[in-house]
Amino acid sequence: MTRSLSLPLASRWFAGTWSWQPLLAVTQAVFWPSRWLAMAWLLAIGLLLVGIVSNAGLPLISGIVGLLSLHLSIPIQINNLTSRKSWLLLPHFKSSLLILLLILLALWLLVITGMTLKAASPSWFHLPYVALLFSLVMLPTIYVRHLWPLLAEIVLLMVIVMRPDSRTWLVEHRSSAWFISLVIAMTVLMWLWMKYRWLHPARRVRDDAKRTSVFALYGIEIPWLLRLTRRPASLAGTMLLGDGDSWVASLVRATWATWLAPATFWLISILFGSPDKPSSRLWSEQTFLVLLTLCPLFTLSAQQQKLSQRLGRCWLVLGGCRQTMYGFAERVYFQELLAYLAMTLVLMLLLVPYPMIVPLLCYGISATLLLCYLIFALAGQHFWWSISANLLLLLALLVAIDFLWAMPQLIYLTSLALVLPVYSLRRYGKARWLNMDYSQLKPKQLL
Amino acid sequence: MIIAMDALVRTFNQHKVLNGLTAHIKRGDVVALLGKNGAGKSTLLHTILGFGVPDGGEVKLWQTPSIALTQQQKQHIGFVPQQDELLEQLTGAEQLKLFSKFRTHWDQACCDRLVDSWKIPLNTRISKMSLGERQKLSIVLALCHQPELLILDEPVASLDPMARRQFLAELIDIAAEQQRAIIFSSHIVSDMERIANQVWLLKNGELAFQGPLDDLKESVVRLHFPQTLTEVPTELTLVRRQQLGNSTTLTVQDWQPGQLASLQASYPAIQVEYLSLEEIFLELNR
Repeated sequence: MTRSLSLPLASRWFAGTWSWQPLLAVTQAVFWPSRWLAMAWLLAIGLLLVGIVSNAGLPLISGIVGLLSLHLSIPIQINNLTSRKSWLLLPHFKSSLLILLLILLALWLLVITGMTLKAASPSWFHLPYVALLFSLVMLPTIYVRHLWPLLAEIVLLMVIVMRPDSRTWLVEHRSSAWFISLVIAMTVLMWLWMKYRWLHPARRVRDDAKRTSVFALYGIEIPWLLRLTRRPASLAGTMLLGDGDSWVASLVRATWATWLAPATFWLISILFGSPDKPSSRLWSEQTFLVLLTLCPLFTLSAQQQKLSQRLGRCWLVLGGCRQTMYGFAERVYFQELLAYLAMTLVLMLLLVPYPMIVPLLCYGISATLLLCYLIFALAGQHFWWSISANLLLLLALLVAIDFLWAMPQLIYLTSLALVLPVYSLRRYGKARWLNMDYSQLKPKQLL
Repeated sequence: MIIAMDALVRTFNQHKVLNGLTAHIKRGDVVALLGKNGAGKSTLLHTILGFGVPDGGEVKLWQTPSIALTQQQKQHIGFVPQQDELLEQLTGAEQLKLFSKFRTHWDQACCDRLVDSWKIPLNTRISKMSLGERQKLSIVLALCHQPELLILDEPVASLDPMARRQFLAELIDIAAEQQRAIIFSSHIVSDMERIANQVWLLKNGELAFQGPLDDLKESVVRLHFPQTLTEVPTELTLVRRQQLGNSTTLTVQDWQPGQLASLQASYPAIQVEYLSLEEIFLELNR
C-alpha cells in the first residue's frame, strides 16, 4: 500500500515535478474550512501538548477526546469536497487526499510509538490495530460518501467489545502472528481499494441527491416506505419537515428509527450469538439499552437540524406572522417526539426489564428536549458551530448514561438537570427567531 | 397599492445592503429589478417577502407589514427563487398535487397547459430532474394559484431559449390582464425590456432610478458630436465621455428632449441616440 502510493510521489519528488500546492490546498480545505474548526483543532492539539509536557491527566484526556471527535469532521469535509466537481477536476486531487490521510495515519502511529516507548515493557502489536481502526473510521465513510458505515461500525464494535466472550477471545489472539497479519492485510486491502476504486470516473457520473427523508439518514431508500412518509397534513408542515407531516408519516419514521437498534442487535445476535448464551439476554444488555435510547435521539436531532434550516421554505405557506413560526416548528417537533416516544415505549414494554423503563424514558425525553432546543437556539448560526455543539452534547449524553448505569436515582436527577436549561434555551431561541433572516438558512447535507 | 416600501434599510455586518429605499408597486405594474451582482436584488426581494426583518423603515404588502402577513395574503403571492425549493424526494406530479390541495384558486387547466408545453417529466423524482426541469416546475408552482403579486428572482437562468420564450409569453399574458403586479429580477435585460413597464435600478444600496421604463429610455441617451469638445455643456448630466478621433460621444442622464434645440444652436450636427435597456444598464454601472 505504502509502496504503491509513495513510489510515484517519490519519483515525482526527485524529478522535481511534484508540487506541494495541491496537498496544501486540500489540507486547508479539510482541516480549517472555517475559523471555528481551525480553532477547535488548535485547542485540541494545544491541550494534548500541555497534557504531554506537564504530565497532567485532564488536559491530556481532553486533548485526546477533542482530537478524536474532530477526526469525525475529516471524512465529512472530504465528502463535501468530493461532491464538488470543480475540486474533482483539480490535478492530483485524489492522490493529495490519500497522501493527506496517510500522513495523518503516520502521525497517529508516531504518537502511539512515542507512548509505547515511554512504557516499562514496550510492545508493538497494537500499532496494526491503530492503523486498522483509523482506516475503518475514515475510508469506508469517504468511499461511500455517507456516514452510515461509520455508524454501523460503531454499533458493531460496541457489541463486540461489550461481549465478555469476544473480549476474552480478542485478548488471547491479539498478539498472535496470524491475527496481526490478518489485520494488516485488511488495512492494506482497504487502502488499495481506495487507490484503485475511489472516485473512479465510472462512479462520478451521478450527482448526489439531497436527502431529506429520515430513512436516507441511514442510506436506505425503500419506495413504499417513502410513499408513506410523504403523506402531508399541511403544506407548511411538509415544507418545514421536507417530508410528510401527517401522523402516519411521523409514526412510520419513528418506527423505523426506534426499531433500528433492536433489528441491528437481533442481526448481530444471529451472526455472533453462541449456543451457551441465549439471544434473549441481549435485550437487557447495557449497550442495547443505551443504543435504544440514543438511536431515536440521534435521528430526531438530525431531523431537527434539517427542520431548522428549512424555515424559509415554510414561511411563505405558513399562516401567521413571525411569532407563530417558532410555535409551529415546536408543534411539528412535538408530533415527531410523541411518535418516537410511543414507538420506543412499545419496544421497551416488549424488551426492556420494567425497572429500567421509567428512568430510561425520563433520560431520553429530557435529553431530546435539550438537544432540540439547543438546535432551535443555534439555528442560523454557522453550520459547523451548530453541528459541533450538537455532536458534543450527544457524546456527553452517551458518556453520562454509561456512567450512571444501574443508578436510577442519579438518572432521574440528571434528567432533571438536563431539562433545567430548556426554558432558557427556548426563550433565547424564540427571541432569535423573531429577527432571523430565513433566506440565509441553507439546507446543508451532513449525512 | 400592493407593495409600499418606506426608507427601507437592511444591514449585514455593518454594511448597508439596502439604504433607505422608498418605492411602491400597484396592480398592473411589471417591475424590472436591475443591478450588478451583489447589488442587493435578492435581499430586497427577500425583505419584501418577509424572510428578513428590516433594520430600518418598513415594507408593507396590502397595507400589512411583510413580516406579519396573514395566510390569506400569502396565498396571493407567487415566488420563484433563484435556487428552487422543491421537495427532492417527491415526483413532479406529487409536488403539484401537494400544492394544488393546499392552494386556493389553483388553476388546474393552466397547470396542465404549462406542464404539457414545457414537457416537464412529472413522473420523475425531483432529485433526478435537470436544473431546467426543476426551474420550470418552480415556475408552474408559482403561477398556477393565480397570485396577485408575482416575485421572480432570476427565474430564467436555467431555462433553454424555447422555454424562456414560452415563459415570457406567459408573463406577457399575465401582465396584459393588468390585474397583478410582477417584480422580475434577471441578468437577461433584453427579456425584461420586453415585458416590464417599470424599472428599479439598484446601485450602491440605493435606487439609482425608479420609474416607467419609457422615462428611463428617454432620460439616458448618447449624444454624438462630430468635433472634439473642449468642455461638456453645463446643462448636461454626464455619465461617460468617449473620444473617438475627432468626434466626441457623451452619455448623459436626466435628458430632456427640449434640450436638443438649445444644444443644436451651438452644435448643429449633434445627434441623439436612444439606448436599449441593456445599454443603459451598462452605462449606468460602469
